[in-house]
Amino acid sequence: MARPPSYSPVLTGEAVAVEATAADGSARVRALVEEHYDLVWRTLRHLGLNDATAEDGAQQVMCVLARRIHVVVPGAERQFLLSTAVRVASTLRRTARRRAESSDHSIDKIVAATPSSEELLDERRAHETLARVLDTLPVDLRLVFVLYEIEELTTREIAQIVEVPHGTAVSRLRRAREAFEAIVWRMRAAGGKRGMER
Amino acid sequence: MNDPRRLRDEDNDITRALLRAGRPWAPRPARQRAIAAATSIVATTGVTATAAGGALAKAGAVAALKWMGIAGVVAATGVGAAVAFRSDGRMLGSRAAVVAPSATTTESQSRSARPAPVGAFEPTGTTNPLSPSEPVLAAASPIDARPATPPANIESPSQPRSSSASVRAPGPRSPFAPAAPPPPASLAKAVAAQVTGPEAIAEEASVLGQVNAAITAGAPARALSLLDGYTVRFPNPSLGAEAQVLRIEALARSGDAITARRVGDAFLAANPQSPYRARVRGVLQTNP
Repeated sequence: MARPPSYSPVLTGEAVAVEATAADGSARVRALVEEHYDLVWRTLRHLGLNDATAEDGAQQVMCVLARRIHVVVPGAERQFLLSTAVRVASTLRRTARRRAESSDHSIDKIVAATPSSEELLDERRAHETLARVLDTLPVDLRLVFVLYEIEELTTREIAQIVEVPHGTAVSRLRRAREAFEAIVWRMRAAGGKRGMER
Repeated sequence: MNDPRRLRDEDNDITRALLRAGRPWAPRPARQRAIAAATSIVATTGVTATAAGGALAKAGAVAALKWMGIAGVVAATGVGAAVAFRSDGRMLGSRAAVVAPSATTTESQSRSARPAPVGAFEPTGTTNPLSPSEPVLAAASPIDARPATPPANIESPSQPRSSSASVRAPGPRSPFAPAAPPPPASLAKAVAAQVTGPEAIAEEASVLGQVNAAITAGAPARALSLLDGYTVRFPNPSLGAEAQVLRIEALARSGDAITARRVGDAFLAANPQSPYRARVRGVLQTNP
């Protein structure tokens, strides 16, 4: 890859070692982006960013990874990426239009628009419903919920990513699950009622 | 302490369908652009690794071990107990296809034209992203942000045009300012503080979860006490119907059949369309 001329002075005297390191780092970065891009992108989406913003955010996260690749401890790459994603999402949420702002937090409206079980077989429909339900959760609870219930991390991994004590992560997960299940419970009740009316 | 069973493994078709839909794949062009941008950065900043990488990696490992040593002992009691009135649903079929939103052509072209996004979401008030002397530590992970390592050693003095400015914490309000590491959960609290509605709903659900747990545990008096507190705390509740149903149940379980009947009849009269009517009737019939 062509290097801009302005960077050449920093290579003086260490050209051989630098090229080897850059090649190793580049291969590692490429492999990590391949493996974790979906996870990072999804997490940004679940944190309330729209498609385009999530794409920009995911690229930012990967650029941070690239810049820091030599200090990222092997085995801790996923944690690094998700921690960075949380911060990038926080920044982007402040500056970009939030999906949540245009969404309706009213549980009643979400419940009223509950798709039937058959309709939920349509994954896009299910995905839209999930996004609306997640939008009702505060971001701190939503993050823990998504990482545990969707990405299947452990609560200890999540505590490290979110930078909270493990007990706090567990507590947030419990509260998030309670809120989520409350909504699903109402969706089920509403769906059952509609079913009886048919 | 073991983690609780994941909800997607529970026998609830709606929950399963929703959570399964939560793992779409990202658009492939976006992934390719990210790879191109990231690898180009490695190529231009790899020089610093030989000098500083080894020492920092060791420092990072120590910090990671220390960080991972923080072990909470909080038991996840009550997880899933809240609002656990689930009824068995039909099993969903096979795993459905993924949803992969795709960027428009225009967006793809505009993004592919730049190796890393600059400016579009750049916080105002930041310094010049091309400044040769600025440290780029704002987005450091907990692994490498906590040790007091000198940031200037990490990055090349001549940064490529990249997303560093976009990632940098925007100002003194940021919980990520490298000079002052935030206390744990500062991010979440900072964000949550701006979202009052959902926070209230989550709190409501939490209290009602405790109420339900108390009823299930055979402590209707405690359930009623919690409900009294709920009524005071949430004068305009989002889960008011759920609270009423729980109150009727708690009253019935407490042996106060007369009040349970009175409150239950009032609920049935006031909520002719409620999906909880059958549930309330059941409680009243079981505890005449």
